[in-house]
Amino acid sequence: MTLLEVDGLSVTYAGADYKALNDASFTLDTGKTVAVVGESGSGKSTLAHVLAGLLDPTAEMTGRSLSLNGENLLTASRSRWRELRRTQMSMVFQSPIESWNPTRTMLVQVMGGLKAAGRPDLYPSLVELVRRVGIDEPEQRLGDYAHQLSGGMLQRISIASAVVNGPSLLIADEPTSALDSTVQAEILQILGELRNDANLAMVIISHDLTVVNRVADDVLVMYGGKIVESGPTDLVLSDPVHPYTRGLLDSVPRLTDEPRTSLPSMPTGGIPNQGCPFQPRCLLAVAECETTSPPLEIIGATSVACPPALSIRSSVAAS
Amino acid sequence: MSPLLELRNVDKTFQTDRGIVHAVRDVSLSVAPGEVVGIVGESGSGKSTIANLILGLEQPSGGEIMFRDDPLHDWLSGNRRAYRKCVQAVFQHPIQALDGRKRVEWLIAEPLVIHGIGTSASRRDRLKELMVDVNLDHSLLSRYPRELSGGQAQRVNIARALALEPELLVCDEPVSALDVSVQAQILNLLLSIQAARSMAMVFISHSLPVVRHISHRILVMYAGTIVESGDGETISGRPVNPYTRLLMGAVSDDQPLHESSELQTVRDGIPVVGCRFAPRCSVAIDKCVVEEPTLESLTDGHSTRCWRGQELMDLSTIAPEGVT
Repeated sequence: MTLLEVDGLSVTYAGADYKALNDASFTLDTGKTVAVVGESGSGKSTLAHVLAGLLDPTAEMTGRSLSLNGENLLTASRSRWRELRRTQMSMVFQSPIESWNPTRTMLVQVMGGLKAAGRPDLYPSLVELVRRVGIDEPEQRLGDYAHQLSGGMLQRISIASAVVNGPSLLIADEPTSALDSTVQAEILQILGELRNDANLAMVIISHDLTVVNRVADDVLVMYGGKIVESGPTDLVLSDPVHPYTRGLLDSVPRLTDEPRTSLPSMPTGGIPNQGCPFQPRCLLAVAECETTSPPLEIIGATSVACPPALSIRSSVAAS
Repeated sequence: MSPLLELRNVDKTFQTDRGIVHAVRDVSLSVAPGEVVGIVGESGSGKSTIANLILGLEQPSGGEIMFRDDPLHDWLSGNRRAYRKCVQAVFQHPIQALDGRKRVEWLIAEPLVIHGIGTSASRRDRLKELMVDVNLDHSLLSRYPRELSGGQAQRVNIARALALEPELLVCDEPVSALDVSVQAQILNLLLSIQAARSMAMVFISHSLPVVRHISHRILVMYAGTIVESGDGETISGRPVNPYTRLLMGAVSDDQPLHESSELQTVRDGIPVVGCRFAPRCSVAIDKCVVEEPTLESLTDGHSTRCWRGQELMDLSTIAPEGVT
């Protein structure tokens, strides 16, 4: 069942002459996880803000559809968004220490949110969830202040409190980037379990392809505000088509590489105002890429916005 | 060949509100001229404290640091500027590492001015060379740090560090704040500069694939001590220490979540007796909680700190999947 539908969304921040998010479309089914991958300036955080209703009010947003559970949110009021964030969706952010008020205990803050949502009765479930995400003495730890807890513990409590009242959508913006790799793997495992048990849909924003590979059913690769490739994670990561996705995958050092050899790296380049955003850095670019914005074309299970790469692929397939 | 840098049983403790913290305990390592030694570990493992000790930004609480066979203490008290000329650093946050009120041209030439090297004309030539070496466009010369991208700013930091032609470059998480595609460029740059100049390097990162990519030799740290050391092939291909294995499982690319190996939560923090990793270890025995293992050599160049090291190595040569 479709939970979230995004169709043709664009965002321009006040005073900017470019679209931070440019014609983004995708759908997310109940209980599924989609990862949004991209680098700084790709528009991935703008997308997260749009989905959570936290876009800067001075930014201009246009689009055909933004709906959750069939409800059109393009025209939703701020109070409706607040209500949605208390009941149907929640967020986990990158920096756990900055997500919490340092002057109040964890419990006061979490219960504040639950009371506002009219669910103070969820305290026992909260304790159980905090234990479940790997914290031994949940009552005591909830009585602590943020600075008394490690980053991993804070992020565990963030996740527990984000899912305690049974949202249908969790938006996680770089939920593990500030954590050590072994802690990161545990947090991802917890998120995966919660998704399975609670039928929770997740949008995970990440620059880390290992993270994406571990949790996401589908992946959206963003560049310069546009979705340039999307599809099932295993397919996109094992057989990428778009030159940016390919470059991104190639540039990550792997444990199976020959050490001390040069990594394939993409040239640098800015994002032009017209044509394909990746064109200045692209080895496949043709004249048309400078003028025409490539459409997202569907091939099999994936969608790719790069006519040259697609024509190479089809000629290879033909021969 | 005598080592360029040597740490002999170095300890570093910090006094905090909650008592004494042993950030680094009994660490011995050596770096030969032209060698890249990688240090991998998580937050709190002591890897950045080691960088700070080597750079003289912290004083060891015990043990000795030698540079070119002379104690670091003597270099710092008698000849600090000469030491700075030999040992330079690149840090994690490229923009914050630069003085925001200075332009790129000054930032790169500043070490030459401080050390009184060359005339203003020769410094200008050197500046141009350095810009070419780190692939920075000349149009960036008059920019301020905030007007640079992370990758450009890190190139400025590298150019600054190279200006004095150091024999040792200490890199503390030099790519972790950068975008993935920029990380590859900076790693390639460090690798080519290191090889071209035969410069020694201490390369610190939390990422095993990154450390493995650039290093000749890898030290794995946990809770202030070295728990395993060896070349990249050994550490990533035939790790023995249970912590290294845990780290490998956590970073391996091809492991979807549902297949990932069992992971132990850090529950009770780090113990003060016995093996520091014992509470998280899936193969710990009674001895591990009472007595701390020492770093023992298994084969030439491969050492591990684990009571069951030899046993685990024998097992892993029989069954590569090993014990978990």
